[in-house]
Amino acid sequence: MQSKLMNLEEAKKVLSGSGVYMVAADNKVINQLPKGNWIGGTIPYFMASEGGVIDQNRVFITELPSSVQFKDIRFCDEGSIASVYQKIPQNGLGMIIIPALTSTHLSFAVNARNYKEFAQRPLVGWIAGAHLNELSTVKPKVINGLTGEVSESKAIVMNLALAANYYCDVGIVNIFDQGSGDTLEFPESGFEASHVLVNGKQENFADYVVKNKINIKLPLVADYAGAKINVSFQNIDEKARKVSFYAPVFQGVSYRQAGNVADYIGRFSNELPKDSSQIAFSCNCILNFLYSELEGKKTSTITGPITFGEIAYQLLNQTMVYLTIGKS
Amino acid sequence: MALPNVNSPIWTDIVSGKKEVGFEFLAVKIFLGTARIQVKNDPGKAAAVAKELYALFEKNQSLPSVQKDVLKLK
Repeated sequence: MQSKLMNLEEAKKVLSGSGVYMVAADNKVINQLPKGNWIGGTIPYFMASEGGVIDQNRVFITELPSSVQFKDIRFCDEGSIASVYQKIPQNGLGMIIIPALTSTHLSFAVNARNYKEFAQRPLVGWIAGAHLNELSTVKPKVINGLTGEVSESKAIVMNLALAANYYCDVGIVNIFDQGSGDTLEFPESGFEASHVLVNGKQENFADYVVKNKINIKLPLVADYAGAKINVSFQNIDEKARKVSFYAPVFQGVSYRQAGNVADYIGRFSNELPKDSSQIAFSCNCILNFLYSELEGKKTSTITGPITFGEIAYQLLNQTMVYLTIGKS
Repeated sequence: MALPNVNSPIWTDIVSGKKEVGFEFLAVKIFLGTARIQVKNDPGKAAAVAKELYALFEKNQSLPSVQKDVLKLK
């Protein structure tokens, strides 16, 4: 994987090349970059070659392999994003970045599974954010590298084709497993829940979390035909008796809270693909970065932005996402 | 190995949860996470959802993970 955290001058040189790039940088520098075949989003958290870092001055660039052919870049709002899977080229992929906490983010998270041709072609990307100390004043942004246009509300999507005889695949690394606790089902889909069915019996979910002293650093985990899909806790509002999440819970899906993970780095290393040579892009979750105290620590040789949400076909939480490109 | 015909009952068996297969291809797993709930809530959708699952395999046959999964479709 050709990816690196670099200073602004080096980033300008790299992006002046003829390649196709994914860019991540803080709000302070991302709009100083030259035009080219790239999309970018704001974030100052990275897993770099030196380990986890918070950096508001440098730029993280992933250069996609030469087997990738640039097709187009477009912004999508909460309406037009519904065609995101349909517009991905056959034998191609879509790369996407969505600014956090926007209607586009929330709509994609809840509705992607109902979009036409959902998951029929690879869609990979992340949710743009900001330094956590600046979230009240700085809005997450995405940028169209072709034009320099910035958006605080729309997603940016880059469609790519693959050269003949090449394929791409999407993988996830989720260090969490369903624990042995209660089965939780939600009567409604959404980013908030007041009510929950605990082993089939309805309770107020905020009361349940408080009463059972739930460690909200551990996500809810659903089993999607063998894929472990997390929903992370955001906040417990005891007064309003509501629980909020960083991704939606879905009606009809059974969740259990994750069991404890004693050794994050060890667990992560064990779960990584044995051969990382074909990994073309990767991102990991800021909750993993924070809760596992990854600043200054290396998880592997795989690097990338640390994000406010990950996308592998749909929105994910507390999960590393990676894209592999190989030759048939 | 060739894909089972689009009208093969194996596709509806998978989307209805009657048949469990340990798939590798992430897209199939994520698709089934939603598809099985749709079919559980409305069994009349099984045939249409099964066709979507078939299309997912058909469009991605060049992937090694899909080729391994096709071998499990017996």
